[in-house]
Parts: sequence; C-alpha cells; structure tokens
Amino acid sequence: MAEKKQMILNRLPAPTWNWLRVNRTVLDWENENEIDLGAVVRSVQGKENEPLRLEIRGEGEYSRKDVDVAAEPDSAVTIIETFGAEQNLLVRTHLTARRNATIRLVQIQNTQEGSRLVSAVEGECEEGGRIELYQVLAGKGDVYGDNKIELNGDGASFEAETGYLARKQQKVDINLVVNHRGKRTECEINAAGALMDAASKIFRGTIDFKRGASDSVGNEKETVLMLGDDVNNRTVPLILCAEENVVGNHGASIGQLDDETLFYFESRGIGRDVAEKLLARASIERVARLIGDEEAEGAVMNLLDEELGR
Amino acid sequence: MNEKTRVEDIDRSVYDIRDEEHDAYRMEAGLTPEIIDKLSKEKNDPVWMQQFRLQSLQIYNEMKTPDWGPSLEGLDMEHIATYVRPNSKMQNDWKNVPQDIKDTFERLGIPQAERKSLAGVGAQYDSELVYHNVRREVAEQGVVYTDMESAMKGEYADMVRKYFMKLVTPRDHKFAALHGAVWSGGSFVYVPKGVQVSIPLQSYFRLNAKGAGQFEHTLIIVDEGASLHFIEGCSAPKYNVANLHAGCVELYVKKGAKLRYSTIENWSKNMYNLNTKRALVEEDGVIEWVSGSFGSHVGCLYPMSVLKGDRSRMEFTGVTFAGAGQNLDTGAKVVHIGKDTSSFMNTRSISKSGGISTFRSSVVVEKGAGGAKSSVSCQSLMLDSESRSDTIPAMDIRTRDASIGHEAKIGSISNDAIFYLMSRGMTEEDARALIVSGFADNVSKELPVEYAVEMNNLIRLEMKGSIG
Amino acid sequence: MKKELLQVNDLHVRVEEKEILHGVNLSIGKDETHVLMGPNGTGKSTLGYAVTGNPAYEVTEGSIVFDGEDITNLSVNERARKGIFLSFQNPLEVPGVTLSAFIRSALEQKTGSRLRLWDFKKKLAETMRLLNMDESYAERDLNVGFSGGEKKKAEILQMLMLEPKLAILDETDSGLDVDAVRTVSQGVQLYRERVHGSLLIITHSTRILEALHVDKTHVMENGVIVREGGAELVDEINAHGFGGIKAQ
Repeated sequence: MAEKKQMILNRLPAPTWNWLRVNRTVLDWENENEIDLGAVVRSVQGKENEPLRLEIRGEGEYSRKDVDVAAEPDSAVTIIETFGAEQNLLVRTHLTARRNATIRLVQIQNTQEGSRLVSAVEGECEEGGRIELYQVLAGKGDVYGDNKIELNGDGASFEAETGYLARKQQKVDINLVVNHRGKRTECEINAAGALMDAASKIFRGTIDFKRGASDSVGNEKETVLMLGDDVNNRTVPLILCAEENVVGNHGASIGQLDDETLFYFESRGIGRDVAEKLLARASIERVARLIGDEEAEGAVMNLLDEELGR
Repeated sequence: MNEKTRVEDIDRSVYDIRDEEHDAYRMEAGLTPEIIDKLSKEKNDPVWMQQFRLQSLQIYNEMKTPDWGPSLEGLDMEHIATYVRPNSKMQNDWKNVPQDIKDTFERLGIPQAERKSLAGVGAQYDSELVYHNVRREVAEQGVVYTDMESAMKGEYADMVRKYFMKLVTPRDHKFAALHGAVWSGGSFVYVPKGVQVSIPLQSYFRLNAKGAGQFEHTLIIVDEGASLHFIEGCSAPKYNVANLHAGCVELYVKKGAKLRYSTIENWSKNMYNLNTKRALVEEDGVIEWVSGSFGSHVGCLYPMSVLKGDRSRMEFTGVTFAGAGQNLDTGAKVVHIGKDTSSFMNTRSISKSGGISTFRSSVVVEKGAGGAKSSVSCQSLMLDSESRSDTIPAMDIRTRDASIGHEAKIGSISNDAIFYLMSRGMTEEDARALIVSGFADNVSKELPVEYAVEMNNLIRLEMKGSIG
Repeated sequence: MKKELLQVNDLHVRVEEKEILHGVNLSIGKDETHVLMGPNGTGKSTLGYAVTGNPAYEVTEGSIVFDGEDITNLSVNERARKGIFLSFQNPLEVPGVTLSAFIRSALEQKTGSRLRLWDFKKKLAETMRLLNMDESYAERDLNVGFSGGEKKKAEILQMLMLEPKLAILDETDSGLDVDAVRTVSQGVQLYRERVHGSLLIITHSTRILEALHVDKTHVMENGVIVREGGAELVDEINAHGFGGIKAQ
C-alpha cells in the first residue's frame, strides 16, 4: 500500500514574504520503488574517462534512483543523465569532486506530458575541485530541480548552464544554492529560457559567501523570454554575504523580444514569430553546444526539432 | 581606550536629551480592550474610530509575528505604554509653547530649519502634537496640514474616515493591527487640485518617556494635478528598555499628481522600527520615495507602491547603513496593475562592524498590466568581514508584455581607490568616509541641502573608528 | 528615363518629436554605387533607417519607391524580403543565436523554403574565407564579444549571403579604422561581382571610398540634399571639406 507523504523541496536559504510563494515547494508524493540500473556508484580516477551515460526512465507510478559519483584527485569525468519519465520520478545525484578533480554533470529532461521529475543534485568540491552542471529542460513534463553545491576547498569552482523551454501548462521549478566556503572559490550561473502558452517557472539562484571565503567571485545571470499569453515567471536571485573580500553580481532580464533586437531580425527579413522561435531554441542550443559531447548534443537537437519543429 | 565608542557617545548626546518627565499621564502597560477604550475616550474619538481600534486589537491578538526577517524577540509588548500626553495643549504659535519643551526642540534645530523656507512643522512629543504651525503661504493655497486627531473631527472628518487605514489595513500584518488599535498623533495633509506646493512640508517627532511607543499615522492626499514634497525626519534618545516604532504612512496620489516622500530614519540604537508605508498611485501619477535608514536596533521598512492607474510611476532611491548591533531589513515593494506603468529602484547598502543589512524587494506585475517596465538596481558595500549584507529580491511577472530588468552587485571598497585618495594627501579614514559618502550619493543628491548635510554627518560619524 | 531601383521623394522624417529630414530627394539606379556624405549629425544615418523602415523613424511626408513599388508603409521585414539590406554601424549582440543560424533563417525567410544544410554551410565557409573571417565565428553567438572589426565583417558577410538588390552601408564611424576600410572595400567588390546590386554608402570620411568606383555622390546638410555630382565630388570634398561645398 503506497504511503502518501509530502515532499518539501526547493527551500530558499533566506525566506521572504510568504505571499510570493517562493520560500519552498511542497509536493504530494508517495514512497517510491527503487530503479535497478546496475552499479552507478562510482569512484573515478584519471583524466581519460569515457562519459558515463544513464538513461533513467522511471518504473511505475513513483520511482527513484540514486546516483553517486566521487572523482578522485586529479581526475575528470562527464556524466550524462537523460530523464524520460512517464509518471513520478525522483533522481538524487551526489557528486564529490576531490582535489583538482572535475565532474561535468549533464542532465537532459525529455519527460512525458503529465509526468513529474524531481532531480536533487548535491555536490561538494574539495581544494581545486570543479563541478559543471548543464541542464537542458526541454521535455513535456513538470520539472523540479533542487541543486546544492558546496565549494568547500580553496580554489573550488562551479558553473551552471541551464536552458529551458516550457509550454502548455508545464511547471519548471528550480532551486540552485552555491555555498562558498573556501578561499578563492568561483561560481558562474547562467539560466536562460522561454515560456510559452500558460507555462510557469520559478528560478531561485542563491550565491552564499560564507565568512572566510575571501577573494571569491560569484556571477549569476538569468534571461527569460516570455512568449505566451498566460505565462507566469518568478525570479528570486539571492546574494548572501558575510565576507568582505568578495565580488558578487547578478542580473536578470525578463520580457519579450525587445524592439531593438526585433528590428535587427526584421531588417534581415525575419518576422517576429520566427525570431521568437529562434530565440526560444537558442537558449537550449547554447547549453547543448557547451556540453561538448556530440551524442548528447545531437539528442538535444532532435528533442528541440520534435518540440518546436524546424 | 576605544576611540570609536567615545566619539559616538559624545556626538549622540545632542539627541539624548531626556527631560524630567513632564508626562502628566501614562497608560498602564499591556494591551487589553479596557486600555484601548480608555485611550479612545481620552482622545475623544468618534464612535467609528473607537470601534475600529477595538477591532484592530482583536486582529492583533489573532495574528502571528512574521516567520522571516530579523528577530523581534527583544520586544516586550506588555511593557510599552502607548499613550503619554504632555502638559501643554496644541499650539498654533511658537511663542506660547512651554519653555523646556521649546528648549528640546531648539536643541534639535527646529526653529532654524523653520526659518529656512520650510512650509511648516508638525512636531510630535510623546505621542501627541505639541507644536503645529502651517505657514500662511501654504494655507492660502488651500493646503491642509494638520494633526490627525483634529483632521478626524473637523471639516475633513469624512475624508479621513474614507481613507484611514484602507490602504494599509489592520489585517496586513501584526504591527499594522497594533497600529490600528493604539495609533496616536501624526499628520494629515490634503493638497487640492492643481496646487503645486513649492516648499517641502516636514514633520519631526521623537520619543521621550521610557518604554513609550510611537504609533503616529500620516495620511497624505495629493489631489489631481497637484504636487508635494513631504519630508519626514526623526530622532530618539537611547534607553535600556526596548522601544517600538510602529507608525503608518498612507499616501494617495491622484490623477496626474506627484508626491515625493523623503525620510531620514535615525532612531536610536535600541529601537525596533517597524514602520509601514504604502502609496496608491492613479493614472499618470508619480510617487518618489527618497529614504536614508541609519538608526534603530532592528528595522523593517519596505515602502510599497500600488501602481493602479495607467502610466503611473514609482521611483525609489534608498540608502541603508547598518553598524554595530544593527539589523536593518529594508527595501521596497511594487505592484503593477494599470497599463504602461513603470517602477525604478536604486538602492545602496553599507554594512560595518558586525551590522546586518538586508535588501528585500518584490516586483509584481499583474496579468492585465501590459506595457509594464521595471528596473531594480541594488549595490552593497561590505566594510569588513564581521558584518553581513544580504540581497533578497523577488520578481513575479504574469504577463508577457512587460520589460523587467534587475541587477545587484556586492563588494568592498577598492584598495586602488583608497590608494589613489591617499596619494592625494587624505588619511585612510577620510578616504573611506569619502568613498562611502560618495556611495550614498544616490540619496543625498535627492535631499534638500540641510538633510544631505545631516546625512553625510551621520555617515562620517558611523565611519569614525572604522580602522582597527 | 530608365526605371530607378530606389526613389526617395520629398521625404520628411521625424524622430522623437524632432524632424530630422526636411524633404529629401534621391534616386539610385540598378547596379549603381552611390555615396551619401555630409557633416556629422546631419541626418545621413536617419535616411538609411527610414528606407529600411525602422518604426522609431516616422515618415511624416513624402514617399519611398523601391523597384517600382511604393514601400513607404511596408514593415521592416517585408522590405528586407524585397531586397533592401542595411549594414549597421554598431550591430546588436544577440546571445544564443549563432551567426550561422541567423543567416540561414534570414535566407529561408527570403526564399520561402528550407535550405540544404550542406550547401548552405559550404557557401558560408567560402564567403567567410573570402572576407578573411575565421570559420569559428560561424558557430559563435551573433556579435557577442566580437571586436569592432569582426562585427563589421559579420555585417558584410550577411550582405554577401543575402544578396540584396540594394545594400545600404552605414559607415559613419568607420573613417579612421584601417581594418574596417579594407573589409568594406573587399565586401563591396565581391558584392558587385557576385550580385550586381546597388549600393548606398553613408559616410562622412572619404577614406572608405578610395578603392571604390562611385557612380554618384550626394551631399546632405541639415536634413536635405544640397549637392549632387559624380565621383569627382568626392575629390572636391577631400580637398576642401564640406565647407567648400556650395549648395546648388
């Protein structure tokens, strides 16, 4: 007998007015079946590693998969998770980047309409460790992403590139918290996407400079293209700071195609509708190119062609 | 010996005048319906107000304190007496005000400011207006500037009743409810259609008695096509007992009207400043907030603008300086409802010596608010690693036909800048003070000169002892 | 009288409440290279924007006829599809859209049909080589992080790929930039060879015209054309500056 429960996720580290409904997300959930995908607990060594490809589909009404990757000192690895959920899927990915190691996590959401995907990513970096997170959210189902990165060691770094395309009644609900603890830690967060029809999206990005994280840098940029008549966008870019010697920047730009850009496109014979489609694709294509893996890039392009037509 | 402490004490003493308590009458501490009744009778409230107060008390008892923001643990509501009346009755002429009360205001510089082309002064002394003088020029234009109690009973009684706590209602939050129950004093301003008030109106008020709360209510209505600049500046002495300021400001900007509301908040470092300010702007109306927050132990200030009319506009320029022992949570809120509305926020915040400064904002664009434009820019300066600076903005956009931009920066004073200034002969301390003053110029250049000077003095005071 | 490609009749143009063009008359024939010169701030770029149809530039009087058709009320992209191209002085950055995708989309809009990717990429690479433009720019986000010279090349590249009937080059700032001058010269040459289209080069420095064959020169002052002539007018301006030009 499935046990009903509530999942509380995407908590904002520093809550604000409750009526904004961005402090947390509460989902009705049930106990999940664990998916058997073979060994996905890995301890990676060395620099020349084949990308680890995981197709996670979901089994039954509620299912779950845990992925645990530890990259040993001086190693590098890429993990490509493709999510194809039909119902409710929870995937917890835990990454540990040891000294001077790099982990690239690529997540491609290609879920079905009506499904719910919850992806919880927890990463920690030791000295000089680096995590790169590429998220392509171009599927049809709802997506909840709760991501927390700890830059514990000196010189640790993190980069997040998120591209999303939400349509119909889709919900995209993301939380990304980067805790700078070590000295000279850096993070860069870029999120861009398009909302069509009656889609809704919340993006909470927190850069948290803890005391002691001197000479650290954090940059966050979000661009939202509003293309539907009933869309709802919530953007909550936080910077928390307890350390003097840091540099933090964030910028957000929300709206439709601006006049200047529209004129440029039109002067080349490209009308508004086509321009909007081009730009909607652009945010996803940009992330796809950054992944640096032909197979993954191809998969994303196919997904886009399916979604938007050529 | 710690030079910082010594200098601060000396300078703050100008504001720390504590007269023997003239206060002839004090309310019992604690808030019961009986006390509210007594208060209401003392003030000769009309029946509707008496009922309003009682309803508000009920709402106050039902509501919870917010689960976000700075802690309000140090507030002991039961011991705050809410009503203190001084010996003198309301005066229209400076000549007739009792000498020691006059001295107090003299030391705070009011007569000089009065000479310097200010239209009038409403001075609140322990919850009630003592001195009130509306300059002839302004009165001739038909501008009404009086205390709230008189306004509620005189020829503007209906207008007051129509607007009072309709913009900020007792249900908004616990301290708005408290305000509704125990409010006392404050200004009522009405500017008739088309009248451009060329001189800024201002009001002072301060706290005197131990544990007395300040719950003044300001209601300003700027009618169609009129314009007004209102300045609110206040100061209070230091106490050991927690003190609460839960005032309320309601601003109505009618069609085509313009209102600039300037504040320098410099409450003493034990005050809890929970002021609620809100403006409702009609078609083609403009509200400009200019705000400098320096004092209080804990402050929660988020002036809110409701852009109801088409093409209405809001501009918010603010600076917040949180020093030792301070937790200042400030920002602004705006709701875009009409078409082609626009909002601009430009804030700077400075944290020093363990102070906590939080910028908190919300920009909401309703579904029907097509053509909305909003631009928020906030910059934070950390002066050391004991302090905190948090930026917590939020945007909720419900239409595609909007253009929303937001940027925030945080950092410290550049060593290059300090080096450059020192290479031109300045001490490191002066260099830092200059840079921080410069950082706050978004506000100082919007204030009348005497306020800008006071603000820069405050900054210099805060910066002294910032080295070592 | 041979049919002109572009005919601007008594054009009055207003920008932000201010009238900038006070009745401009100008005509350009097929396969001709024209130059529009004049002192700074005189309305030259405004004419370029007005012909392209930028909505911020309001035509209050007069008309624009292109290839026999009155286009005064046509939208920007309709005019572009008819074969009018404007190379911007300071092109916009468009993050997310690659140079290649942008050009391909524009071409598809013009021809109305899907392009074969292989053919397109081949032609693009070839044209970039002719302009000495690094192939990697094709997959870079349009103008993002491009230097001034690279932005110029990107604009000329678009012109060569889109093959318009009339190319308006706004070179008002390019006078002293050696690389820009070279790119434009090269681009114009290629354009004439390949497309046999007409050109309107807007500039206030003669440097950029040194290697070009000019059919006609127009001088603009205070929002009207004050003098017209052949290539020799360019030399006159070179020698005497604009002050020496007398209105006719």
